[in-house]
Amino acid sequence: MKTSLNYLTGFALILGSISSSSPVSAQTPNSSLEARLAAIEQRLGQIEKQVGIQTPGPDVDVAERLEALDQQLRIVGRQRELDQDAATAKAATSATVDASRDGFTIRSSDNNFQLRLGGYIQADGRFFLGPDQIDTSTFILRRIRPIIQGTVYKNIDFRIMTDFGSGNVVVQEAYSDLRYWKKASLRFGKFKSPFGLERLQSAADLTFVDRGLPTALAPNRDEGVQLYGDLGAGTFSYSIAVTNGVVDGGIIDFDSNDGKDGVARVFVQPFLKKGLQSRFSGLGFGVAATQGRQSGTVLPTYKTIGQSTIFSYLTGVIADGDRQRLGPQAYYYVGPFGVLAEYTTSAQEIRKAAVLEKITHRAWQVAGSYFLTGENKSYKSISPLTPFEPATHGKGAIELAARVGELVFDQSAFDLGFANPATSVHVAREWVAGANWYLNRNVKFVFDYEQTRFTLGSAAGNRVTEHGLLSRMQVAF
Amino acid sequence: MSFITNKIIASLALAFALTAGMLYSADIKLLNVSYDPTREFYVEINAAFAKAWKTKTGDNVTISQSHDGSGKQARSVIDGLQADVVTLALAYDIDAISQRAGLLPANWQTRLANNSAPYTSTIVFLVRKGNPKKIKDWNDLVRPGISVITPNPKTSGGARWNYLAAWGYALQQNANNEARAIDFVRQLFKNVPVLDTGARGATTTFVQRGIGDVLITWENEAYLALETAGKDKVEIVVPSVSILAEPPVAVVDKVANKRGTSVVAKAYVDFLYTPEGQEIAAKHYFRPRLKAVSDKYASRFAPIKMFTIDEVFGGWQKAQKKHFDDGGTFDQIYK
Repeated sequence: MKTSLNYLTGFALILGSISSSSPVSAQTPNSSLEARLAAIEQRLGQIEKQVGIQTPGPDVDVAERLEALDQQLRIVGRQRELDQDAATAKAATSATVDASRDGFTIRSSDNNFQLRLGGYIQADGRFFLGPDQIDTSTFILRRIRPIIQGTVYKNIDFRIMTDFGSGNVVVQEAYSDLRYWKKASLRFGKFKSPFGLERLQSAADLTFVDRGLPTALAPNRDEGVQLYGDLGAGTFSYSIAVTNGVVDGGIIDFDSNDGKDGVARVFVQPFLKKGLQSRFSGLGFGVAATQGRQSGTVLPTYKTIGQSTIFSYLTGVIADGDRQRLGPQAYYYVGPFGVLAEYTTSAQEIRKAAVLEKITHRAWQVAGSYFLTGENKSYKSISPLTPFEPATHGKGAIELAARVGELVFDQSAFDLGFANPATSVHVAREWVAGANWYLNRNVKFVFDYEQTRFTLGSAAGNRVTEHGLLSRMQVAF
Repeated sequence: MSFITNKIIASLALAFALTAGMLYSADIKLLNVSYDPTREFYVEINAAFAKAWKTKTGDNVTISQSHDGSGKQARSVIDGLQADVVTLALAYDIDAISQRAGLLPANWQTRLANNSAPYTSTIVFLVRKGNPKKIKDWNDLVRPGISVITPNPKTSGGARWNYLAAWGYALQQNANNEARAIDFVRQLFKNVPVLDTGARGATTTFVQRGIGDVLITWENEAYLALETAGKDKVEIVVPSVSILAEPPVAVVDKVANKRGTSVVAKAYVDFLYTPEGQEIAAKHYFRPRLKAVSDKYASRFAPIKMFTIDEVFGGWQKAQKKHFDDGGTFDQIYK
């Protein structure tokens, strides 16, 4: 049909040429005009067969035949107009499908219904250097996380993220957001407990292969309900949650006791102004706290980056009372430079037989980074100024990074017999130096050297210093 | 108390009363979802009703209009278009809103006089000036070489009236022989080169795009085309028989209740039955129901023999099912 329309449109030009050349045709013998008309009709006849319409045959007089041809052309023009109107109307109500660096999206014409598919894969290589290393050198698929998120009606969002990394299947996140007011949204399901600054950063946006030591004391994903919002166009954000109450670094799918944690976090970016960049607009600071009462639960163990345990409680030691965490935190990003710092304490009343004591672990870290290629560092992922592309000499983005941190386990844990100093360390101090190469927004390589020294943790005294060469190839979309 | 003091007090009282009036007068918004050729009519109705409502209550009412093919409009309301009032081309479309979306009760048509149709119309022909193809009646439309413009009955209420009018004529001419009637409309639609989605689109095709020898259309739309295109371009032909079209109106209860506009919406549809509303209808070539107005404007409307949908088709539900639902006669004759 479309081809036919094209034919007929072309035909309009032919007919136009007849009328525009009327002074000439006035001097042309009628037989010549007849011949031209017959040729035109022959072509039109072929087109009509395809379109399924009819015009008068050659036995009808010229004026009538011209009139009929004119009508046919008008009909074709009008049909095209109607088709365009229908196409426009259909486009206005049809769903659209987008594929971009942020993933794949299907959305209704009014944006009230959306489905976004994304995810990331992190393929790590970990190699531990030197004699007597406890951790095992290995290649590992650290995270394989497909993400399904969307909007089910205008202000109701959902997100499901499953992790297939390290050979396990874990539902990391499954929650829904009711976003009727930007200042007060409601989230329920399984989500990141709103506490640690680096924990709240997406694993795909981390500067280093692994998060720093304070994250070991912060709750990971928890289940519950959270009220959160932004005030002053993002200068002040808050989160208040009631959750099952996971142990330090923990992630669970159900609670083993009736105690619940209250979690609160405020974060301020005082110089943040929409559309206005200033020297301090990348400054943010805040504090988070949790408060709960946990009894009889399994207590956490703490691990190195190589995933070997550096601190665990002895058998018979249980949580029995209040648990508090406190976490002041800040970051500052200006141009290619960024620094992130946090301090975390985690205190839990612990019992072993008749001995009850509040045990408090502490950790801190300061991490800095700098883009040699001039990109602006941020809390979220960055886009290279020139994506890696050999054909156009694009080299991607290169970032250097360093971090220092410390994790101190409460001395009382050893003094009161809650932990064994021959197997659990008292202090872990780490430093990390790294370089990152971002090929583009979606692909990056991370290379870190990390060294962690320990106090205690071995029958011979101090646990062997960990020397790790860590690498990662990440694809995120 | 001095005269000046009295004047000051009176002025203050007046200012207070005006201010209070302004503070307490409400601003109400209504949406009237209508069919294609009622645009100009409802522009005038809306202005008149707003004025009358302001006088009566002191409230400001603003009525927005939405126009398209009647069937298409019904689907929009079913899909969520927040119509306080619907004024569609035929009862079946409002039935659909009631049945599929439950937005108004099944007995909606009994709530207002005359089957909730405050005005009527019929179907006539518009032809080129001088009627060069000598079109006088329905049987002229099936002659070979006659190009007929009518919209798509699947989307347009007016088109369904056109179709049924032709069908009813064919039945009358052929002693109620249905096979002859179906042949007649098949032949007629063979002469239709393009199907618009609504009556106004069909008028555009005929008048502005210059396509076709005859436009089958609403009587009011034909007169409007005559006024806008000019009597030197087109003329109206009244066939020997046509159908009595009863475009109904209704308050969409659930929407109006939710939006708090029930009272105003009810007053709005009632206004169509008032002498003022009927006068406006007549002015726009809708046939008024009110006898006094009908008599006054009798000369505006050609006498025409009309049959009703109930008489010939047994009502809209039956007509819709038989002719316009998927697999109906229209699907059989127009492929």
